[in-house]
Amino acid sequence: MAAPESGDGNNGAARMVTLISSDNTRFEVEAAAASLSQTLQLTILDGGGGGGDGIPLPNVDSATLSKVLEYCIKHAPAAANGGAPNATAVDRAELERFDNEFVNIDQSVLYSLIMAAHNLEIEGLQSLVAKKVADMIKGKSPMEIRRTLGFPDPTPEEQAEMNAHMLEYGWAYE
Amino acid sequence: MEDDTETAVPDDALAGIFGRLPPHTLAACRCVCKAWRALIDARGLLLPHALPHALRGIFINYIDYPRPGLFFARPSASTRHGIINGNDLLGYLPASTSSDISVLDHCNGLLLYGGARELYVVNPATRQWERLPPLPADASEYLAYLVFDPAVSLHYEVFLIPRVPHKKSRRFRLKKKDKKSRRWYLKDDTAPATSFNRSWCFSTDNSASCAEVSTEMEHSEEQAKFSPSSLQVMEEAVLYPTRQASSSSSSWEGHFDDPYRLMEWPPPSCTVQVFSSVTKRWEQRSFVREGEAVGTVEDVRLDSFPWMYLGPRRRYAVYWRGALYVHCQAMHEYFCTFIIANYFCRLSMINPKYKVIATPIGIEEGKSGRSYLGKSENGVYFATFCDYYLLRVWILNESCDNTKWVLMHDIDLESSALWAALHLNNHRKIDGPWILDEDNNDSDDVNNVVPTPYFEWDSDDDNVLGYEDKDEYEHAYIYLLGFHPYKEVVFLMASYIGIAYHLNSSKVQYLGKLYPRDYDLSSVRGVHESFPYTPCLLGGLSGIRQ
Repeated sequence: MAAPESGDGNNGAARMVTLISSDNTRFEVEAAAASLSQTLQLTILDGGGGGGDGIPLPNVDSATLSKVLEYCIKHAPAAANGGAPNATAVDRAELERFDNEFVNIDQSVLYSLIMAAHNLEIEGLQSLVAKKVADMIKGKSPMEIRRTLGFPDPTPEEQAEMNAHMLEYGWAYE
Repeated sequence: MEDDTETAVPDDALAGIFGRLPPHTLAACRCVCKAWRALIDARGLLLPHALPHALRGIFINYIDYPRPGLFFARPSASTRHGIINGNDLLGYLPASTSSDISVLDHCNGLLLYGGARELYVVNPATRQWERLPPLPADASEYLAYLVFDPAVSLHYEVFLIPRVPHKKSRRFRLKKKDKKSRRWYLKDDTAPATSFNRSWCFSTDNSASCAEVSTEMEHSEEQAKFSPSSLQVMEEAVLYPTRQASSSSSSWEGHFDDPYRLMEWPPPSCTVQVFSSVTKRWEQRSFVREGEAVGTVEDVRLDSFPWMYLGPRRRYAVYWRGALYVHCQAMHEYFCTFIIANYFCRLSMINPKYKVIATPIGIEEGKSGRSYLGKSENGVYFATFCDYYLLRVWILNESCDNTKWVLMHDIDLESSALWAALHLNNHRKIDGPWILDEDNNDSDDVNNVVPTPYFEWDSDDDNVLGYEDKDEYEHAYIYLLGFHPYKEVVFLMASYIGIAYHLNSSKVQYLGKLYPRDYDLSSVRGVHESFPYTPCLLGGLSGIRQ
């Protein structure tokens, strides 16, 4: 990755950037890790986030941001290798183990991660959380999906509508 | 996740989740809430699952056979993905009182089903159906065609295309004897077909017939007052118009009082009855002719076939890229193809046009040959047989305002592997991979026929036959069942054997036997109509449920 003119990260110590969560917690993280976010990448390439400035992230709270950065730090080396073509099987298995562990979390955290991954445009994390939610609801009926995701129980009208739409795709339930 | 926060999940994130789901869970998600349903529909996420882009079998109506729409297909253990078994097929439709019920048309997964007095639109894959409102006119004057493209819209339309007016023959019609008495009787009526006159807006000065139209219409409004017994009489009159008339029709040769004889054909504009699933009613739609007239009604009319002549059918239609192509024939035989152009423009009533394209064969050949209009890999195809075994296939080329038929294949089936299929059946009596799905009341029998469930017919590799010579005295009447919708393959029936013939490689595949068990195989019978079926698993028939 080409370093910006003002950057000093290519010699020895990696360049660091500072991210500021919605509750004003500052996170210092390697630029390479933060750059997994498409949203942040441009700012960082422009030399932002260095020194005392920091990049404010008003949509992400500190708990979520620390979780997101945990993901980014773990995945940054592989991403720097251009999708890790020369990664060993061990490395890949380790990442996979990490991912599985990573999304084994409370639903509210998972929800925050979906939003953060979307806002920050972190492709790998988006896929990971989408896959997690898909696995949670796979094979379930509409009611079970609602319960799994903590939707309130449907009103009688909503229930009737659900039943009506069930008929439309009768083939899918056989 | 709370409901209100759930709605905050961005569409792209939701779509990312939905994209990882199997079809049945995706369908379940569609029921979870309005927002999800809207997203799944707007992005067409179920479309790839709903339109498997596969041929599942062929619906066949046999002549003089009580059960319409037998399904010839490779059987499957599952009804998922539009594979249909036995009584599931059309058995859920209300019992019909008419004897003339059959499969009338197929378009992208929907079937048009019914007879002269009732029409249903059916999706066999989802087992949903809808009965159309009463037909706006005497249905015996029309043929009904279905237009449906689920990739564009879940709405469909049904077109009633008028037949070319046939020469007056003695037809029995219901006439009101006396307005006050409310009694009706059958009259040997030589009046022109009035519904035809209503639907084709001729530029004619024949005011006499116009006047007659208005009185007829007045009468028809009172049809609701028929007593049941007279209804029955009328049905017979419509269904068997020449039963009594045929004896006298041969002597009916005069042209002098034929009001249609010198009219321009096709007319400068034509009005077609259309049922739209959007408005839920029949409406009239006018189309202006593009291009020159072919001639007069007399020129195009063929009188050689009696009304009773039942088949095989030669009036198929193809819906392709927004246009409906109707093989249009006088009586049962003619050489023109209709294009009713710009279907989706027509929906907005902009510039509705139609034009006539001559089929690649001449009138004389059209009289004797067996022709078929269909849809296959590259668009609109026309096939015809002559001299029993010569199969010719054209494709319609519509580039740059120049519409022409291009001859693609000229095949002599007499020297093909087709005979191997017949020998296979004659000598070994084996069952093919496809079976004719009949009434499954005696399911033991059917189970014997199908020892193992098959999941998918391989249109390339299953039951490919080597070449065998035709025996000297061997003969087969070959009938074209239809085109494979996605490959250049034709489905043939030869002596009640189903065969797939690959147009490019001449490969022949044996499919299976094609005679219903209790069917009398006398020579005048056979297949009347056949429709290759491609399932559409999209639900809803525009939202109407049974």
